[in-house]
Amino acid sequence: MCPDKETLSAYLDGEIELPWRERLGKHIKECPACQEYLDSLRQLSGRLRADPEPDAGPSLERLKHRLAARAAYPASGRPPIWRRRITLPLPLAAGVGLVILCLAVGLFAAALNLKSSVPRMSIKKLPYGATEVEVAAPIEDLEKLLKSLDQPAFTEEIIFTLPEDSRFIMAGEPRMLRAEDIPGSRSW
Amino acid sequence: MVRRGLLLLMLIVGVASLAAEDLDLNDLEGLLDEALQLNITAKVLPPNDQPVYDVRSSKLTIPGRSIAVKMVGENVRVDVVLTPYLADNNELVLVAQGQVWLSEVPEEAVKYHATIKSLPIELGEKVLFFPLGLDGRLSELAETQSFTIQLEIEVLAYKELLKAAVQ
Repeated sequence: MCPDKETLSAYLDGEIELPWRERLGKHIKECPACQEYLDSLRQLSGRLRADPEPDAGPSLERLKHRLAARAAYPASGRPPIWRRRITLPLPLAAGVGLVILCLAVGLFAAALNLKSSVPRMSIKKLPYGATEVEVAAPIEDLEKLLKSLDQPAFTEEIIFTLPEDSRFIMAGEPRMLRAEDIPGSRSW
Repeated sequence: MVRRGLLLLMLIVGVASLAAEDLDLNDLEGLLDEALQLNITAKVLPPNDQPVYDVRSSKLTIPGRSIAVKMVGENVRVDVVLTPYLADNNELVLVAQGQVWLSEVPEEAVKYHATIKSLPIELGEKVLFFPLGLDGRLSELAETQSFTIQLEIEVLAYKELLKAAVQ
């Protein structure tokens, strides 16, 4: 009767003690099946020894990092939340990216809109002496402007009560000028 | 798949509402950058060199938004609307629209005068507006013991004033 495969493997590795090793040796010499199995084991062992050892460097480095991180955060055994890696499903990551892009575009557009929300003005002297004042604003802002103009609170108001017993006259054409341009600089 | 879609939709709605709040805040900050302070001093000019009346007031505004000044006297009512504008070349222009209702002796009839004046200005520069005029009949002021009105206007950048106040 042939020994089982584990016993034959142990025989090949020299792990079988006397006197069982002698008896097994006699059996193997007379048994072609056991010889064939032992030959196959020897070939396998030879191939394994011939292959180069796998490079364990990267795995070893990762292991060292993990051990170092565990030593750095011994209380919880995990790094703080801002140092953890977050894994997102691809559709969710794409959605978040899209939202951030929309937000950036919206803020940019709002900034542009804000720049143009202040009405701008140009003044032209017409050939026949009249002055044309043109206020330029985008149409949606002009609508807002007109609505605001309808509200009494739109214009800030200051009321000055002039002194009593003072009579006023028109002293010429109304004028507007820089203070420094007044001849003789009457410091009223 | 449907659950993921709903999650994404909720995320978009949440971020959009947050973005709307941010935009409002941005608008306010933008307005603060544009804000101007108008210092307005009304003076009544007698025939001599010293004004008999000198009242000052300050108002905040933005380019394109008006400040109305109303002056009421015994024989006069003056409405002046002051509007600082940004011109196309980013120059600041002050526009003054004046309306005057005035009764003068001996007619005693009320006369109406309207005017619009504009002047490119620098921030901090003092501008004088004379809704009742400046020259021509100044010599009559002494003869008739009458007065005219001067508005002194100074336009300042509100943000610069805030910075100066903090320092």
